Amino acid sequence: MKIKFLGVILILSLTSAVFGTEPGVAFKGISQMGMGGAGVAVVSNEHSLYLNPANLVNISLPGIKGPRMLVGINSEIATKYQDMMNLSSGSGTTDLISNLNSLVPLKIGAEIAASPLLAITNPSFGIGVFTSFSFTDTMSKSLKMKLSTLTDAGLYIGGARWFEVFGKQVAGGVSLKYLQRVRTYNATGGLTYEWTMDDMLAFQNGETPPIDVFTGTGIGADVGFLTKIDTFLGSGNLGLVFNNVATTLQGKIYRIDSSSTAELEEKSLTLPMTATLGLGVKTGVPVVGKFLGEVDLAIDYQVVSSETSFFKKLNIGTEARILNESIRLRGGLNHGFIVGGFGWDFLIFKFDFAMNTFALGSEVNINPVTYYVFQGGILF
Amino acid sequence: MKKKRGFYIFVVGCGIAFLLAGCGTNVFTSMGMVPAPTTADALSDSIDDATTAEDYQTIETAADVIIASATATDEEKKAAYVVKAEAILGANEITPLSILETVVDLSDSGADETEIFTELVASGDAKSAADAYNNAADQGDLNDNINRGVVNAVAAVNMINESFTVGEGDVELKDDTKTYFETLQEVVDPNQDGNTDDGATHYMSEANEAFDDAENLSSDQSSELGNVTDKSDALNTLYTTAATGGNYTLSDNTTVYVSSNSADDANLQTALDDIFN
Repeated sequence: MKIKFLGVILILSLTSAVFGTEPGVAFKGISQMGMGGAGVAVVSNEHSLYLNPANLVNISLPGIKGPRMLVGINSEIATKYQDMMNLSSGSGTTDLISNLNSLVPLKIGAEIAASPLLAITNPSFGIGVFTSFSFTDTMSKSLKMKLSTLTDAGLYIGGARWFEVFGKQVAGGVSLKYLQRVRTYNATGGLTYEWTMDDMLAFQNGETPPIDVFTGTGIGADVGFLTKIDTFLGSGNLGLVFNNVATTLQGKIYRIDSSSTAELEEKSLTLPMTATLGLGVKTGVPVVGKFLGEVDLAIDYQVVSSETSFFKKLNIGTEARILNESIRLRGGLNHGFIVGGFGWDFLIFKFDFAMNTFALGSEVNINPVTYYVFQGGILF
Repeated sequence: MKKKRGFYIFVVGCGIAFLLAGCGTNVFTSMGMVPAPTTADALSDSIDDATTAEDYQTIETAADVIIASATATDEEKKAAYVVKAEAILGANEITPLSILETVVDLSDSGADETEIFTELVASGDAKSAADAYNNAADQGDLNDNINRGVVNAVAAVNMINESFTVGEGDVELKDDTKTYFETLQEVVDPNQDGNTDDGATHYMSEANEAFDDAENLSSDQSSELGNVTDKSDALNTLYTTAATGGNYTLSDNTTVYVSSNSADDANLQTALDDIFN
């Protein structure tokens, strides 16, 4: 039994040998953002469907959630808004160059999500629809514009149950998902599309710079495990989740050449499978423990990942619930960046805020961006 | 009890305040635990965050490692050369976009032919950046032709301006202790090896090639840069004529005898005044 169990993990791990540059599914909960991205062993709600389906076993009551709209922007969108609006003002190369000159350097980004759009949960079962759109746009002084857009929509159906493995209770859970993705797509397959000054002048002069857009759909699964453990900090959970198991999107690439002709090509994209190990414990806090009560501490590490940076695989976070759990304070380290946030339930309204920082580049010191993320919804 | 509650609120408030103040800071980077980028793609991304001359120098050094690598592909080397060029420009605070804006302004305002020599200047090492862009172009098709063209043009103008003070119809030596021929040589053949591929003409030739590849400058803008090309070509002709001694044809079709002998400096000055007239 033990050998079989290890064999499954080994096979799933070997699947990672086919890593491409395709980004994983973009769904995130705002509490997870405030907690530094950690959540594999602590989140037991509709977000467990993609974070760790095994955690569905810890849902205690049936629930329905309607649209929870999430909006995140970085501060430069506000400060450069007028310059961006002026970009297309005037005519000819002179105005374009002058307008661009006032805009650079630029680093903007935004995300809009319905997280969830709709979710129904029951102990050990969940079904949910999530959507997410994000874009980032950077423009350097040497006028290289790097643009990436990613839109994901997913329908998840998941279930979980307890098993006994080697005399220990282990929860196992599976989520099946149907995904749709639309994204810009560069010639090398990467997410970031790059325009140089040559492309921008060509655009100004009426040419359409070549750009590719992928749109595709597919199915896949997330598989998770969870077990209870006792640590020196307190009791908690140890979780392991394999995301994007056998997840392939079939679709088309619209290659738009410089003569504005859109050519369609069939394309199959495999989402990289990741394996994340997570630890979550409830523990008291020195000094302010009486006020905060027990807090959740969580740490996740991607043991199988397309990321090469050690730090980009690491998420650490904490959440404290105060005033009859109507206010939640969150903080953590997302890839080493200090992040934080809070949630507030007032009457039937629910409001959350998170300040989330992450790096666009391959390492945490390359192109960091900070988003101010807001989410609102109605409790029912 | 009230005092304790106040104390807790104070401590939690301080915690939240410290958290918000620190948001966005990377603790691992602050502790120096994060390795510097080494791949061309990572360097290209990291240059967006560079702000100090030291940042740019670090990126340039890392790009040089890729360029010197025996295992790097031509594509990686091309990307590394472009990053190197951008790092040199950043360190020298040269912004190609601002320079291009100057060219466009000059062409729009109908400025006289020599005005570009006073306006299209940039302090710093445009020549090294131009070399890096040209090396990148040698590795394969480049999509940074506007930047390459602009930087090469600035390198050429800088070389002329470093040796001559150019006015309309009037050219003066920057260094009176040198002869006209020595000064001309600084511009056309700075290595004094009889090869002009390190001179202003070479950089203007590279600039024109880049602008031709970009295919997106208007005829007015091309014409404005064409002034620099015409002047640097004429300087090249004057230099090669003077190097062996011979008659140089002025714009009115009269000729003057020019040579490397300082006795002919007056004729060289006449020829230079004619070129920049």
